[in-house]
Amino acid sequence: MTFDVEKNLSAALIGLEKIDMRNMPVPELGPFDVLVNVKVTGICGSDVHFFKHNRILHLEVTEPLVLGHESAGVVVAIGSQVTRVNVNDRVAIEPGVTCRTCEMCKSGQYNLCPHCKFAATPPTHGTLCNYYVHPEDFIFKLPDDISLEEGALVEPLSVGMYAVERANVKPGDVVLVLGAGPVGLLTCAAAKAAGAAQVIIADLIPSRLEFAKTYATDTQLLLDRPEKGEPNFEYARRTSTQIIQKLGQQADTVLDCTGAETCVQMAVLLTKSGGSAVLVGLGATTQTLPVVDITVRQVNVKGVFRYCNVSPVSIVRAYPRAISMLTKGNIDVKPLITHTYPIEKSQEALLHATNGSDGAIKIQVINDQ
Amino acid sequence: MVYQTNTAAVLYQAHDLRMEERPIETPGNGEVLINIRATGICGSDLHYYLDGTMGPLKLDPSAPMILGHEASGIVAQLGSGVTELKIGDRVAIEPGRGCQECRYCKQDGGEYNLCPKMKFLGSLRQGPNDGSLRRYASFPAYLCHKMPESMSYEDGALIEPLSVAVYAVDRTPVKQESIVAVLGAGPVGLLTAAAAFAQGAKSVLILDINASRLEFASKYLPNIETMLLPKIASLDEAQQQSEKIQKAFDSQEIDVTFECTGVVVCVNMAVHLTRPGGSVMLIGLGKPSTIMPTNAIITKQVNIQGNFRYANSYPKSIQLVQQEKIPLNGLVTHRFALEDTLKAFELAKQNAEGVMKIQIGDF
Repeated sequence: MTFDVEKNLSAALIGLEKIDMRNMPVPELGPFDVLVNVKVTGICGSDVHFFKHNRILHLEVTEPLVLGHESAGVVVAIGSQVTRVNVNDRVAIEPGVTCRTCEMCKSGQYNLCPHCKFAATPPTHGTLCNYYVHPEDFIFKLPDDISLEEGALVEPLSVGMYAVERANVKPGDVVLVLGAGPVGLLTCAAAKAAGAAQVIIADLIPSRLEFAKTYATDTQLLLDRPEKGEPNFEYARRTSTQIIQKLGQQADTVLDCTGAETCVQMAVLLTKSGGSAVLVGLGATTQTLPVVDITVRQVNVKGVFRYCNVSPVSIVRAYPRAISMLTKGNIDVKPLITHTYPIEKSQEALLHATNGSDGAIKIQVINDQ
Repeated sequence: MVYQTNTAAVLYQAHDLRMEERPIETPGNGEVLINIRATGICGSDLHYYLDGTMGPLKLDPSAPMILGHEASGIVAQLGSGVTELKIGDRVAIEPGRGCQECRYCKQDGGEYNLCPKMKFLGSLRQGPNDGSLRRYASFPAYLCHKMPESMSYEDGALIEPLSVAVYAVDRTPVKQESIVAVLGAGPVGLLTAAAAFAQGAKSVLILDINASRLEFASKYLPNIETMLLPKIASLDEAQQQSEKIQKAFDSQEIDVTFECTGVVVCVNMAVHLTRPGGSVMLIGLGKPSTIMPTNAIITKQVNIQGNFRYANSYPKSIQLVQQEKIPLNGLVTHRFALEDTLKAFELAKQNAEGVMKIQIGDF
């Protein structure tokens, strides 16, 4: 079953900071596939990075690539063997399709599947389009009281929830999050939901902290910029000392949601002995870490790569767990949506996400076709 | 033999180690006086001897320190209130006195090794704390673990480094069927490999740049696999070498890698050698900051853990030796009398072939 090619308007990256709105073919619908009319797509830092540089590390965009991976939409067709959703269902799309047969997939840590095809990671096209074909086991129905805009935030919320899981946040914990972008904020929300007694957020940008004041944080710390020529480690040491003085203690866990070397270093320095520094933000290939704190104070360092299953009690996919947090009102993601653009203006949307002006937090692209 | 005097090896500053007579301390409440019979030398002891420092702390000649912390001995006298030990008990000494009040000491005593006020034998922190390189020392009875009759003083003094290995392995996911790699075939690496086998590891691969150390490893643990490493100059080379090693090792996916050298390229190799979702345990202490492959740490979700000494590990370690699940024979290659402590340190300094663990004492 195929749809008319002319109707699949897609935002394809064709050069540096260049989006071409073009019609892309819609793949054949396999028996276990779902055809989704994508309605809302959030822009993520990785989309911005590909937009700006046409690459992330060794992943190069050498051919036109449709961007976007944080999406929700409406089911318009289902394959012959699909049982999980029906036509007209409103759904969230989990963008990484894994092989389901390797050891990683079979043991539950499918985010580490070496054969994963992830939307908008070359060569797999993304979801900033009209029609997207996707296997049913990566499609999740949204309850009636959850909007498609919220559905498109399930992706970054899943990152935040999985990060909190990896950090092993327990009731009563003191949690510090570095970076008040969408992932940092959603990580704070997830930490609160996991029972953290105090959630502290730190950032360089005052307006981001103003927003954070209203959103899932107890304390907001404004970090000053490094002095001219100041080595990263000097900055990290002195800033950590200041923070410890201010808080009166280190944190049970620190989650870095920036990827900046200074923050990665601070994450280790600010974690209590025996605790975990969790690295969510992806930065440079190599970074200098205070390894003496890792050994002598037994500070664990754990990375977070996307999400898979959460909850130590019973294994549950991150996506439905995140959706359930939205329905129970435990986490409200709506305040993060600061700007929207129609799909025809995808280029403008990406430019705005790139420069982050006007207090932008989460920019979403809306498709009304 | 009962000594009337207390000969001690006292370090004043780097390369200034003097044998002196010290008073024999009367054991206080809850303490026992031990006639120390064996003390092993560890890399940190050697570092004190060569450099007179530990991290930011520097030895002050006006407050010299007796070295040594890997010790065993026999109880010579009881302080008041001691009920668990009697005179003549042979003990392995756990050299770290925690404050017993902080959250690390109190939390079921589970992480007392992280006590910020820890007073550790032969260490400058919260010190100087006189160590075990002396004839007699008084020490808390609760830190003196009874050795089985069959255990020699030599073995008893090896319980300290063995506890490091046992504690480190226990904190990682090593279990039945695990595939393990160990970087560094010195005493800590060897004991870690032994502890990994005792924990059920299916195979253990040990890597070193020194062929004779690998030969020693094969004799010490017949089931171990060894691989000789070239000297690696860059981080890129470290990554390439890791890929070569994985291919050579039957492409078995390594679940846990123990880093027992502290060398930067090895710390990086540890991450590249380990499979996605696996763990790296850093035991070796090198420079305070090290460049690390953070991108690989994140995208492979290789969990990084660090190890500092041990907690509640002595009884388990003693038991593992008694049950012959962990061999110790052959590890001690050189023995010196206490009076010859200086000779022992000079030998340790040479880093010569055929020297594994040096012990000092009256065996």
